[in-house]
Amino acid sequence: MEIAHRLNAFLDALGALDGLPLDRVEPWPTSPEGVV
Amino acid sequence: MSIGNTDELAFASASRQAALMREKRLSSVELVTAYLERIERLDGRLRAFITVCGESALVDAKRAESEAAKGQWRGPLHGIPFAVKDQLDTAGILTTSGSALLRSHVPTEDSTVMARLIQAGGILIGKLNLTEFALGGTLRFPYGQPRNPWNDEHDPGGSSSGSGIAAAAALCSITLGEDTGGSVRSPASYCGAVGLRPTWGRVSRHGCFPAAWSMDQVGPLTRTVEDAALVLGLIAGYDERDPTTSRSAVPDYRAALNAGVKQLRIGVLTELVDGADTHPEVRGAVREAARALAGLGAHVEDISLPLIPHAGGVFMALCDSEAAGRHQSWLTTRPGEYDAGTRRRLVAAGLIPATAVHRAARARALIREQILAALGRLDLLLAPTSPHPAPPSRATLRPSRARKRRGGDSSVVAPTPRPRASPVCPRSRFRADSPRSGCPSDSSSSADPSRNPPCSAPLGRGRRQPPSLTGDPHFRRRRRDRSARPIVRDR
Repeated sequence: MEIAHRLNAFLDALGALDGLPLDRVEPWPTSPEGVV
Repeated sequence: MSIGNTDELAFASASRQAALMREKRLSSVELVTAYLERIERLDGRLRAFITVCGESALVDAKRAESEAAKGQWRGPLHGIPFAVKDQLDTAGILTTSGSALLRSHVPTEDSTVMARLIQAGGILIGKLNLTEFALGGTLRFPYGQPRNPWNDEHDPGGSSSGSGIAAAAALCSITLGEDTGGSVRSPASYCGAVGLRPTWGRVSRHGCFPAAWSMDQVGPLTRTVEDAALVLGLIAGYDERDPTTSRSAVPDYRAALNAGVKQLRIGVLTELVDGADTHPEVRGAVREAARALAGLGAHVEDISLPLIPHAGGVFMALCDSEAAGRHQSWLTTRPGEYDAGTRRRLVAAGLIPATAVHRAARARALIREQILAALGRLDLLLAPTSPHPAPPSRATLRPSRARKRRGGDSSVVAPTPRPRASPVCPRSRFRADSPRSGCPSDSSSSADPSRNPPCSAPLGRGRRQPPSLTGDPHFRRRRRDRSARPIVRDR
């Protein structure tokens, strides 16, 4: 129950990202000298 | 020695202690002995330490004293006792990461940051308590419940709990913590210390047990901003054993403290300062800090970053899934040795769909883009570390209430792996003329590294007052006596 509750909280939080233009950016790995 | 008694000596900054040693007015043995006495007297209650290295510290202090007598100085920390979070490897000394799983783990090599402090002449006095594997949410601490030195029924913050406690209660000269999503800044805020999360890549993580590799960063917790700048200067810099470290030159952060704040452009982050969850006392403290900065010549303006409210969820998805991957083997073979809170957190994170994690990584890129755009025209972002003052400790909460407790705002910066931002928890709330508390932090652009802790000079030099909690009778009592230091009950 606790785990299901926590997992649902994760998914709810991530569901809030639906309206964002996520396809506009790529999650490039970062470099120690700055943003790639 | 100009410092009158052992309490004065213990609470003095490391920079001051080092100066006294150079003037031959203080010996390392005297200093180490004073801290060991305080640890013996106070730590039974505070539980800042997991391991105290009393015997070896005294041996090292005698050696330091002998070298000093001959004019041989190893570095700026010669003879100064420090302690590190038990997440950092120390050769030949138990290193548990706050977990029962590692109760017998003795590394054979020092972490890079540990080695650099030793090279600068520092003396390891002990290893500091933390939430299990630096993840937060620990229900039962295997090495004792850490307690806030200002009120031991309240949370000291985490995950670098012992580092915040030891700095604030003067159990050593300086400490190191590690910050993934607020683990340096939260205990600094709750305990009334200075906490600095360096820019990602600025400090080596070699020998640091990972919480989440894409966000982990080692940083100092100290009693003064000058000490934080001193320590950062010593631990920063390229390390061939950590490929994520930057090759950029390490500036003189201490010298930069004298630059002042005139012409500095500061943005007050409205989503966090004026958010519905922000305690009025915290909001007031941040606004007061902003006014103080403006009064000193900085240009201060409100700024809105609409993606910030997403940062907490994005951070949790990325941090927890990275941690779940790291712990998968032990979760399968040794699940019973985890704290129940840690185990639940990791098991739940292991069930997050990969597509959701990937979307969180994209959202992190968007948030980073927005923060960097703001820092293109501003030098600092000012915001609270936590939306509320230190809450009651989990040890004093019923389990159901403890589980519902929410985290702070420190994770806002953590999801930006290279945010060029260095949040600081200056001790502005300890200004003598302010009855308020709160937890202001600031994120500074490090495009010009010499400006890394720019607002710390005016904010960090006040007389200390205890943090207050509106409505909390224990804290109100402490506030009335206007004590300048935590009043810690002997065990």
